Amino acid sequence: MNEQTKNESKPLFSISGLFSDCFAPGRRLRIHILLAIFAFAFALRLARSFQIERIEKDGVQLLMMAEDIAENGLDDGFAENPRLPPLHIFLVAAGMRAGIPPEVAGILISVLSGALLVFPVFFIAQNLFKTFLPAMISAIVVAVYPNLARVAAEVLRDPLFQLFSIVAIWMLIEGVKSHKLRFHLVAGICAALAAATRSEGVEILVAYCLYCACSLAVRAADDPPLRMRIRRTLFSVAVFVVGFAAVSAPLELAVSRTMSQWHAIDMRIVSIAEAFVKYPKSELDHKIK
Amino acid sequence: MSAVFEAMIRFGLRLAGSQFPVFIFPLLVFIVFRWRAMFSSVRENPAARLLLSYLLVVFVLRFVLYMSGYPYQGRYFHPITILTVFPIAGGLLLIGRYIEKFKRGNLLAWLVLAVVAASAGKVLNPPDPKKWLKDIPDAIRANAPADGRRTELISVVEDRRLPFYAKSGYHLLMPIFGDMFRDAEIFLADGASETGKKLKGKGASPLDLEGRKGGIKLIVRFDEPTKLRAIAFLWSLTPDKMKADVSFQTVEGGDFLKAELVSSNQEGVVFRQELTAKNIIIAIDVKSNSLWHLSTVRGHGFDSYQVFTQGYYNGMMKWLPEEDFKFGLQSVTQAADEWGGDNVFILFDATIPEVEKALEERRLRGKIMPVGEFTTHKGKPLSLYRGIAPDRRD
Repeated sequence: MNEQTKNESKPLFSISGLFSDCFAPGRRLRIHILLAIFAFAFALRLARSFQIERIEKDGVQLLMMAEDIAENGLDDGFAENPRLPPLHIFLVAAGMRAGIPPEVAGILISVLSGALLVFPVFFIAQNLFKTFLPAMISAIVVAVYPNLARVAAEVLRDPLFQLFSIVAIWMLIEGVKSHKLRFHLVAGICAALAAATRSEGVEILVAYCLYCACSLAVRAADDPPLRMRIRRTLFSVAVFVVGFAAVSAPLELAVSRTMSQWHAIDMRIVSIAEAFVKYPKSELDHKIK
Repeated sequence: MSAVFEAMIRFGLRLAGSQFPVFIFPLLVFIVFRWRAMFSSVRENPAARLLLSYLLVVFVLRFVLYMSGYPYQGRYFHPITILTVFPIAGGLLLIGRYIEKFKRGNLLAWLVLAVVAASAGKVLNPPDPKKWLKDIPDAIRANAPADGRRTELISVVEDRRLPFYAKSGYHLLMPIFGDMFRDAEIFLADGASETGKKLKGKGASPLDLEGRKGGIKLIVRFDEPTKLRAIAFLWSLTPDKMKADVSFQTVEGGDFLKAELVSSNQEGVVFRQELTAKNIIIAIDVKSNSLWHLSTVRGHGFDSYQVFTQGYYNGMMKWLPEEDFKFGLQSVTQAADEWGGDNVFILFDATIPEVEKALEERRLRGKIMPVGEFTTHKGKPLSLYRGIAPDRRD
């Protein structure tokens, strides 16, 4: 939320004059506005959750697995669906151990995750637009977006996954801007947490590799020489992977002794992508004739 | 138009359809009026570059997943939805600035407020609730035996919310044809190949079936010779309007039986969508061994029902048939008798008169008693029955 610095790259677009009277807020006011948006997002999702009479179909499976784990331990808890990533189930089970009913724990996780999404979205928008106003509107839009708000009032893994994914992207943005490795480390950790929530979490790793490849291929005016950029990129990716492995490896080890077949890098996605790429085009053409 | 391109269009339409309409206009405004700035920012701004990389990866992988025939839900698009928030905010600002050219004042604030109100209204107005999902568990709990025995639900509907809210055990009622697919291998054959391409589950099926003209041949090979069941099953998969053009051939050879469904209609492409949808269901069933969908394409089968209970199969939790029970309605009454009687509930996908008539025809009337009739949100009838307590049986 700091003012635009000289070193920052060009803004996506800038709008001056709009709301200049009422929106030239100081740092404290900005924080208050952001907190108000978060409170609104939280209240909206909570209100929606009170309207739900029956949770989503997929949510029941999560709750049943969490109940099994909370009552009988890890051993057979994943038998219901061994490929299901464990983080959300663990959190619900932990909530149950703390005395919260499973359905309430599941909804609370979703509501809180969904509302927290306004923070990373705000900071990413500020990186894009360089001004407060569009960043604030981005936070408002994500707070009220009906599709997101409705899912964030259900017992589903999606809100938690979205939160970790977007925080990982935000951290990567801060990392590539400032070249500080600690951001890459946190991004790796968040990406691993996202992968432990939904299998698609590995997309962040792929996207970061794609970004690195593009950044090496395209050189901006003030970029350093290629050799330095390669070295910097390799370090960043290595730190990201260390952060990713620091969370995913112990988690994989913990569930490997159970019936879980979860892996941080989902083999189904790899095999589907492989099948898609390898699909014989001639065979397809033959069928279309 | 290639099958992939067609699928891309379908995917794009599905993606657009999953977005909240109020936000589509500012999104388009931003893309149309700021496309040049967007392109330049991708080069200059690492944040934009990283977001674009993420969007590309998410888009491509979601598309691959969509193409694979995996049952797709709108929430899979949400990572893309979150990424559209930034151009939507930019679009709202552009619209606000444009309006303020004509009229002074903080119109942007009103615009944002209107968007917030519309969105919040949408959030707080849930679609029609599935009342039957509440009513059926409530009926089970209200009719549960007073001695506190655990209730058991045998259901034609695979929805875990029913036993979850009824706090009962859960069994599925599916036609026996489903069971034979546990060990079946399914091949799709085309003109060039006798055995065709073996369906490897979800990954291959949509591409295999898309764009086929001049007949579809489905070969199902079973480990056991179950000719009649195979033909009946394939026939049940055939859309009604296609039945006139379909011929069956059975070929016995070696230790397996092969049943073929061949459409002689050269305009087979007309039926493609319908047949494709059903064939994808087969592939999914083979892969996951969750056999429910087979019964949805077959309709109810008072003579072919079998009771399934979850258990371990090849190290994984699967729906396994209760092999000691008979088939059809007898399997239901037998289960009700053996599992305690009045604590066993059965959910049929038929009206009470239909079930009563079927029970009457099979001389099973009085073995189970109706509790209530329900209608799903799609208008399909469901009827809930209960077993009879041992001391009240005839």
